[in-house]
Amino acid sequence: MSVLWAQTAAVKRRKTTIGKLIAGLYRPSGGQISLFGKSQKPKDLQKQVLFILQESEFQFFTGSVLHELQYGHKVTPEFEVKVEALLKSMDMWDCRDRHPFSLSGGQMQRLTLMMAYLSEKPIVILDEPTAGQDAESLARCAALIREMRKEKTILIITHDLELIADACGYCIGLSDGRAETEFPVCSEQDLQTVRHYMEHFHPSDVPVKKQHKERFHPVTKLLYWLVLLVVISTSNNHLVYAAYAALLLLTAADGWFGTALAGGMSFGVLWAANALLPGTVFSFMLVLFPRIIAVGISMRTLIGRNEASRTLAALRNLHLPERFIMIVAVIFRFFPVLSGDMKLLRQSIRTRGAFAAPLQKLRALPSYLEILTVPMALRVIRIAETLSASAETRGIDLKRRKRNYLSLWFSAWDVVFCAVLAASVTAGLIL
Amino acid sequence: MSTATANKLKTKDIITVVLLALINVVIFFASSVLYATPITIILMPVFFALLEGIVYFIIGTKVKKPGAILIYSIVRAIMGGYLPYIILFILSGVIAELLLRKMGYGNTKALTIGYVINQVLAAFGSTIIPYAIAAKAMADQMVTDGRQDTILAASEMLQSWVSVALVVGVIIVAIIGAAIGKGIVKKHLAA
Repeated sequence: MSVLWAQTAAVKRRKTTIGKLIAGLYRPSGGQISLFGKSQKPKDLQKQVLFILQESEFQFFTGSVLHELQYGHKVTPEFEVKVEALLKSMDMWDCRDRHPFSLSGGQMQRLTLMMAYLSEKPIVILDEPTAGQDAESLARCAALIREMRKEKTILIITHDLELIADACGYCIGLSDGRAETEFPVCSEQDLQTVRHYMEHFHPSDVPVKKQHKERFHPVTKLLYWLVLLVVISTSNNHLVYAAYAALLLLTAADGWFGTALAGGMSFGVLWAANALLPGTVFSFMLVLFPRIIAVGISMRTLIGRNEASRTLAALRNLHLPERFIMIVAVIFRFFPVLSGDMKLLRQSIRTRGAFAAPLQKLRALPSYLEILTVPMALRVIRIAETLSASAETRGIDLKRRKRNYLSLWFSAWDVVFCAVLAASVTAGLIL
Repeated sequence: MSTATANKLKTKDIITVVLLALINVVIFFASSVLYATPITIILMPVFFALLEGIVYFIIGTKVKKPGAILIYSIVRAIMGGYLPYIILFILSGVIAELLLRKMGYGNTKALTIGYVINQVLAAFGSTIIPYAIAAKAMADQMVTDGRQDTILAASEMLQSWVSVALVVGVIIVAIIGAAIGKGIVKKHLAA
């Protein structure tokens, strides 16, 4: 058994990424993954590897702890005895009828470990399985992992030296997504070597991301968005194409070169397809799709990168009601978070082997919809409780006006873009 | 505390509703691949009618206060980014609020009717109206280009009987979606 770890949060994603590549949850952009000397496709890997996510709550599909452990298994009397013994050994027997979402964070992690223990897959990857556990829980988890080692290959992604000492036999140090060093973990001296390696990492070694400089005032982008809402609701193609061209200019000038290029190329492909095969479905697509793409791109310029904070500051400067700003703030902050959560949920469904074929999803559609929605709903209800407590503590309900910590200025870019937009709309109306 | 104050949306309620609404927004964006062809666009309202009931019912039963469904509708509408869709979605929220006011907040019958109306109006905003606009825009383009086109006839057809079939389909599937939502709320949020 091995343990994978990287030194800083900056490279943390890389080791989770490697873990997910091994579990077949990501498709490698190059190279190949071999297991037992045989090259494997992601689908094959999914059948052999179970990935236990750090985010426990995305891995629960049923309404009780007991059902969660039985999910996907044939429940024989022997299996029931095994589950009972397991629950008792992990001090979870009294929780067997509780909803998984009513458990504490540590209990949720123990539940995911038990699911891994009961899994029939020969390889298990555990991502930070002991984060936030107390000493007693950690000892129980380590004991279960040692038990699992007897029958399975276990890979653990962790920074926890105690867990490494208690449960691991081999350690691989990662740096920037590559295996930098390897240590056996058999003696106290080996552990000291691992500790020394972990302590001698310098965060300054991680390259700092180049900061982007915003050119446009968020109000300019909001104005464009409002104009676009009206334009795409009309049947005037020239007007739509003119507004689309203005959007591509705004996007490119604001530094979103990839987005602007993709937008331009999409339009080019649609136009070429319509020119080559006139009077086909492409004529229809050339009319409809630029409208849809424009909405997507304009939303991205408003909330992508660190634009969300600037847009919120602009709304506050417009003296809009604080409750309205709070709603917009929650949308801006959590839309990317929940998009990420949805991806995690789908990975969890894949790694647990549920609904492997599209036909299975159709056959058990209500269950599939339940698994896809309920964990996220229960998670956001928890988030809402914490977030509202924080907002109230910070004085959301106070009558005084909140201050902005961001300075926003109109520049020549805004004037130029407004002129371009006005010219485009005029040209579209005349043509 | 007076009943009026207790029944007013608090910060926690607003955040809960917005976050739950975002789940449907995320599902909407994740399913945007359905916009890939004109045929799958027609199927989109049916697909969403089945899917969105869970969150709608969680909001309706978790936050039994005036304004919750309206906030859901506003968030969901604005993230759609299309004016007719925004207007119709918000209108459906207003209708649902009136129903809930009359029949009681958290009332499953009111929520079911509200949800069906919501999905029908959303179908108009997301598919039927864009199709009509696109067909009109395409017709104008055809005149400019001087081309005769079979797809135009297909689009006209889509504006007639297919739209009726779509609305009927959305109503049936929305009732199923509401039943799924009701069942899931009972199972996971009964306490």
